[in-house]
Amino acid sequence: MGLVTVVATVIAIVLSMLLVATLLCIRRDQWATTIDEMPDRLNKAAPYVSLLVIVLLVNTAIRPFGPDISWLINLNITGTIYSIEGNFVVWLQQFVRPELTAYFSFIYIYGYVFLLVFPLLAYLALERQRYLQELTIAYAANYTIGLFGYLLFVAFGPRNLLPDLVQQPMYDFYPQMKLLTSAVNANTNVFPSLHTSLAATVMLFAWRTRVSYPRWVPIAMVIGASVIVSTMYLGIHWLIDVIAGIGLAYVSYLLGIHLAARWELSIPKPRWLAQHFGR
Amino acid sequence: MNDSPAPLHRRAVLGGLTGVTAAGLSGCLGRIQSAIDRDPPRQVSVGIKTVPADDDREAVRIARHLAENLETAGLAVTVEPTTEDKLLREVLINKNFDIYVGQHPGQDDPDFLRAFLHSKFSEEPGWQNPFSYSNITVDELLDLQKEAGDDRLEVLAELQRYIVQDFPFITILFPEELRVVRTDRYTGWADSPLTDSLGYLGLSPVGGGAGTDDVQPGDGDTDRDGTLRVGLIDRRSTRNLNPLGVEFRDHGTITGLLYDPLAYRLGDDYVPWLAKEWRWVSPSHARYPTLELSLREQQQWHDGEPITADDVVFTYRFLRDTTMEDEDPVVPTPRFRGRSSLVDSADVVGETTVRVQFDASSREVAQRVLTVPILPKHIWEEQATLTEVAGIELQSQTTEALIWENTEPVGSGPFQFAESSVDEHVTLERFDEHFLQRESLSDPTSQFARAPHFARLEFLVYPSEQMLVEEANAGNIDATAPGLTPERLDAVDGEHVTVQIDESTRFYHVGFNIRATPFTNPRFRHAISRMIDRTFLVEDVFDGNARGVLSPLFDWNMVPSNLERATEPPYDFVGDHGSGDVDPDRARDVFREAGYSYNADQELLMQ
Repeated sequence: MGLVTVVATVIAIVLSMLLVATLLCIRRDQWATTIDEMPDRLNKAAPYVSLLVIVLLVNTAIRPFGPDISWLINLNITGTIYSIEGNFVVWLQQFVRPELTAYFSFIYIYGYVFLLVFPLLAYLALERQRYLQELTIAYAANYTIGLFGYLLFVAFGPRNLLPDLVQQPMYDFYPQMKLLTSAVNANTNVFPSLHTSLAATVMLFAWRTRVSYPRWVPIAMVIGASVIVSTMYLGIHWLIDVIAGIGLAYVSYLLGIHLAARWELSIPKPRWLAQHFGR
Repeated sequence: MNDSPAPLHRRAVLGGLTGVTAAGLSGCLGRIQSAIDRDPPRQVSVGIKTVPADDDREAVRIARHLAENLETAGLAVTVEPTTEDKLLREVLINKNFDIYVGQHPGQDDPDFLRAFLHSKFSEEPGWQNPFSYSNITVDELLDLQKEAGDDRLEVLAELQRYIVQDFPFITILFPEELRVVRTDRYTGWADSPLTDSLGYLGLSPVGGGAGTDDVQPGDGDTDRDGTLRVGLIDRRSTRNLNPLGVEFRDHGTITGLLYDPLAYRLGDDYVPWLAKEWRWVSPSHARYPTLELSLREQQQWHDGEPITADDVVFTYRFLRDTTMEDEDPVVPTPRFRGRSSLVDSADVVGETTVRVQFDASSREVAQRVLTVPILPKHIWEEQATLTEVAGIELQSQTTEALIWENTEPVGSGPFQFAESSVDEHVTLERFDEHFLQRESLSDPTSQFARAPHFARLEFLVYPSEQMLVEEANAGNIDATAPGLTPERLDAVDGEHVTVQIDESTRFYHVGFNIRATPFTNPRFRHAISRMIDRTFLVEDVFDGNARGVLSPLFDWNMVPSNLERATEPPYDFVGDHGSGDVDPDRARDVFREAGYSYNADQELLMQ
């Protein structure tokens, strides 16, 4: 399987999951209203989504040079992390079994992408667009602060330091997944865990929107917690990376709420849009 | 004193108290000063640098094995994984390390030890004495073996005994290199290892182009137009193809395909290559031998320029000093140093004839020089300028030649560069003007006539060893690069997929930075060597695919018998052989015997 096939599979499976979640959580009348008000909502969302897109583009542009920058700064904290944390991941991996490996590998890739995308759709479908704004800002904050962590520190994960003690079950059973993960990130960037921070961010917002989306709460919590555990189960992250990730999530969550309240951004409606949709 | 009793009493008491207090305090302060003002002995703290498991699982396991045993013995140890090119830069250029665990680039002749250990190389970057080792007796023995005739074996034996006592580095084992190959499209894998460039020249297509989509219908010579695909994890060659770039090369296989030497070494024989023939023009036991060599006629570089004696003379001069000037600084290449240092001067005698004057050496050792790659003068003389680059801290400066990425190399090899993409692939194609294609050849070169027998060679980068095996199973690649972890081989699956095992001269070793305490102390280094269980490493980590050794010489005929096994005192492991774990009491005794002491918490203390 080449990278293209892997990506296509991810898209297909995530789309199915989004469909199921939509049917479960979002009411039909909500969708009707959303489609009616789409231009307005997209308008309101545009500056925030653009901010997120810019952050992601900057991340992608810097990523190939990241490791070189980190090595020049030369703060290699792998050994330090291990000396503080010890063999927690080794202990966790005593539970490694093929069924759990299948579950956590699925969660680490497909579950994670779904977890990040669904709230964007769900919050777009809300009357109160504020939550979507908060979420996109929180995502942007995660990536931005995370990038600093990546550039500043060199940190290899447990599977790279302790190959005698730590397994890498996903890369053993599903080697083609490494095509995807190595295209997205370098093995020197485990601190902080962005998987954890983004998942925790979604979980925090799921609780925040529990009145609008009561069914989303247990789904987000289960999948989110599974993502966080999977990073360590699969030998990719240290517990310390996870703790840092949770901290990062909380900071980003607060930033999202705070900045969305302050900015109240909107772009002027382009004339063709007003003419076309008569508003 | 006055005669009023009350004030007298009070003053006296005060005075007395003051006196007593002062005396007490000064005594107390004196004690405090003696006890606390001495710098308290600190626990010995050591950092072991090696590559991450993604790059070489075995190296990390060796480092962790040593780290755990040293911790049992009371040292504070941190294993620091460092990406391959950064590690080589830190160890070989910046000398910023305590201990490293790594693989030696490979040896052709015991003379390689001279560049590896001689004190005159300790200030140079590269695989030249990265330990900063300096021992006059060893220096003398190294110089002696270079010149020795019949007594060379004895000199080498003596040299090995010194190395194994003093331990500037600790040789651990010679690994066998494992790779997966497919037998349905190409054959000849077993004939010579693929780490050697000649290995690719020995491959030929199997029968007609079954299953290949590169075969053009109507081609007369369809067999020779195929593409050989090799999978790799090491992506450095997609970023840098400079044969002099020491942090980017291991065995130099890909650059070896692009650049030719004057001769290749096959076993004990030299195979004439760019040089058609050579003869000694000095008497047979001359201390300073002289050689005259002739290049083959009408050879050309990949860009069409002719190969002449000028290029050979330039190469030898350039390797010794890439500034090509007679004044300081002198910046030799960090690779090929052992060989280039044998040449005293080289002169053009004719269009294709060169006379080489050697330093004091035997003919056997001097001939090594023929295996150095020849560089095109018209391309490299432009790179002979000093440069300043951040990130390299060395008192000498560096030249463009050493940091140039050379991403579109021009050599004279049987393969020429076609294209590459960073972190993805390097593709070479057959050079049809190469002498192998055109000349009639005599033995032993004739076995390579018209090689390579395929038109394109693609080196494809994959993110993991597991993927390499999968791709080989699926038929998307014809071979993997050598050096797979033994565990991967369980996944090999397919009718035409097989495992190739080759011996390797690239020994794993522990290197010390002898400039840093406590590694300045040979007894300390010796104590560390007792913490290594070669039996455990060979059986558990390498699955039996390795040879645990004390001596760094690959040819065991040259190793004195008492150094063959590392299981006798005073070299033996201080624990049960094969268990991997030191006995804590015996381990501490070893360090005590070396003159060190422990505190109440069983921590080893710096002297």
